[in-house]
Amino acid sequence: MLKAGAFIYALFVMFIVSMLTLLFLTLTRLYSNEISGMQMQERLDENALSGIQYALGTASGVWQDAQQLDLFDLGKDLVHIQKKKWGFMDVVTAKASHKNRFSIRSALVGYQVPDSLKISLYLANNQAALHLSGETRIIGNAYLPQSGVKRAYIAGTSYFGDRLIYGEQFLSEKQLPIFFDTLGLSLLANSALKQFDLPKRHHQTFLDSTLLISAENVVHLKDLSLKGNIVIQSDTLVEIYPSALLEDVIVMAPIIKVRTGSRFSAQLLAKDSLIVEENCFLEYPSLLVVNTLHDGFVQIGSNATIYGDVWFKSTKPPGNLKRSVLIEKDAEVVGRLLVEHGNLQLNGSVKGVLYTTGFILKHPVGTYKNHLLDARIDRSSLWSDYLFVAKVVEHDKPNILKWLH
Amino acid sequence: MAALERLHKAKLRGFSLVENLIAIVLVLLVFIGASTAFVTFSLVPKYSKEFRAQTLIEIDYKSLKINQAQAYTYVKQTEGFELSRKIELAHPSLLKVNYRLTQQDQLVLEKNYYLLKK
Repeated sequence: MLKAGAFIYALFVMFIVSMLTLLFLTLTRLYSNEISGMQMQERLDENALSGIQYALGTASGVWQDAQQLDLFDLGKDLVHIQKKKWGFMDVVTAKASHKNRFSIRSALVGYQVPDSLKISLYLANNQAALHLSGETRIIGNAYLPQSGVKRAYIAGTSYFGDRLIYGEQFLSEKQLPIFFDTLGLSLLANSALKQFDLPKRHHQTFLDSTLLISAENVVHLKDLSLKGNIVIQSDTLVEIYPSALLEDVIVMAPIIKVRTGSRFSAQLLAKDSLIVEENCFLEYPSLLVVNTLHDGFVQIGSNATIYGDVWFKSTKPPGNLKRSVLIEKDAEVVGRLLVEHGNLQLNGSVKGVLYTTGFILKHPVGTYKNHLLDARIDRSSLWSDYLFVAKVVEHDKPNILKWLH
Repeated sequence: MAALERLHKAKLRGFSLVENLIAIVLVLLVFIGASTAFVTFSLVPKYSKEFRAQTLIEIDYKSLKINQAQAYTYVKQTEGFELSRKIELAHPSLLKVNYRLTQQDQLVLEKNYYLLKK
C-alpha cells in the first residue's frame, strides 16, 4: 500500500513540472512575439524609407499636410508622407505605423542638376563681353553673352592662361534660367509657436511645430546652441558670434552680420544686406539669401568659406557701376552663387556654379564692367553627385541631403 | 538500543531527503534539456531561415542601390534559396523593387521597396 506522503510528493513534482511548462510556454511565446515585433519594426523602418523615396520620386510640388498612402497596394504598408518647405529648402517626412509601433524618417532634400546643366558660369546676355585678367580661371562649360570673352589688361596685369574658358562656350539669354520659390517664406510664420526669449540651448525637431523667436530690436546670437526647426527673426539686425552653435535653423532680418571666426550651418535670409566677416566657415548645407527691394548687398570676407548656396536677388536692375555682391580675396563659395539683377565682384573663388547678371571690378585704378581679375570659377572641383541645397532649375532631381530624424 | 534505533531512522530520513532532492534536480535538468532541444530544433531553424533570407535580400538591395545598372528581372540560386528580383518603373524617377525568396517552392520571405532612379 502506498503511503499518503508519496501522493503529496507526486503532486509536488507535478506542480513543479507544470509551473516549468507554463514558464517555458510563456517564454517561447514571448520569444516569438519579440522576434515578430523586431520583424515588424524592421518592415516599418523599410516602409518609412520607401515612403521618403516615394515622396522624392513622385512629388513635384509641396504638401504641407501629410498624405496617407498604401505603399505597395497590399493593404498593410500604410505610410503618411509629407513634403514641406523649410525656408528655401525642403523637408520630407514619412511615418509608417502598425498598431502601437511606428517608424519616422525625416530628411532635408537636396537637388542634383542634370548633366546638361553642369556648367561653371552663366553670364546673362547683357551685350558687354566678359574680360579676363591676371590669374583668372574659368573651368567648365560656360554660357556667355554674344560679345563673348576677351583678354584684358588691368593695372599692369594681363591674362595668364593658354585658354580663356577651360570648357565649352554657349550663348546665354538675357534672363537667368533660374527661379526663386519664395513660398516657404510665407509659410514659415503660419504654423509657428511664437516666443520672445532666446533660449540658451534648444533642439526643436522637424516633427514638432516651428519655433519662431521674434524680436523688434537687435538680436545678438552668442553663447547659445540652437538646432533644428527654429526661426530667429528680428525687425532690424541679427549678429552671429563665434560662440553661437547653430544647425539647420533659419535667421531672418533686414541685416544679418556674421562675426569673424563663426562656424555653423543655417539659412540666413536678409532683406537688405548680409555680411560674412573674415575666417568664417558656414558648413554644408548653408544658404545665404538677400532678396531686396532696394540696394541691398552681400559681402563675403576674405578667407571665409561657404558650403552651400549664396543668392542675391533685387527687384530692380542695378545701376551700371553699383556693386551688389562682393566675394573678397581667398573667400570661397563651394556650391552655387546666384546674382540676379545685381553686379558681382569676384575676387575669391567659386567651386561649383555661378549665375550672374553681370560682373563688376572696383579697383584703385578704376571701375570696370564685366571684368574679372584673379578670380576662379571651377565646376570640376565640385563632385559629380553634389546635391544643391535648393531647387532653382526645373529639372533638378531631388535626393536625400541630410537625415534629420 | 532505542537510541541507536532512533539514530538509524534519522540517518535513513536524511538519506531519503538527499535522494529526493537529487531526483528533483534530475527531473529539472531533463526538462530544461528537453526544452532547449525543442527550441533549438523547432523555433531557431524557422527564424534563422527568415533572418538569412532577410540578409540575402538586404545584400542584393544594397548592391542595387549602389549600382542600378543591373538586370531588372532575375532569379538566382543562393545558399539553398531561390532569390527572385523584379523591378518596375513606378514613376519616371522611381523604381519599385520586389523580392521573393523561396525554398523548395515554399515562400520564405517577400519584400518590397521604392528606390529613387539615378
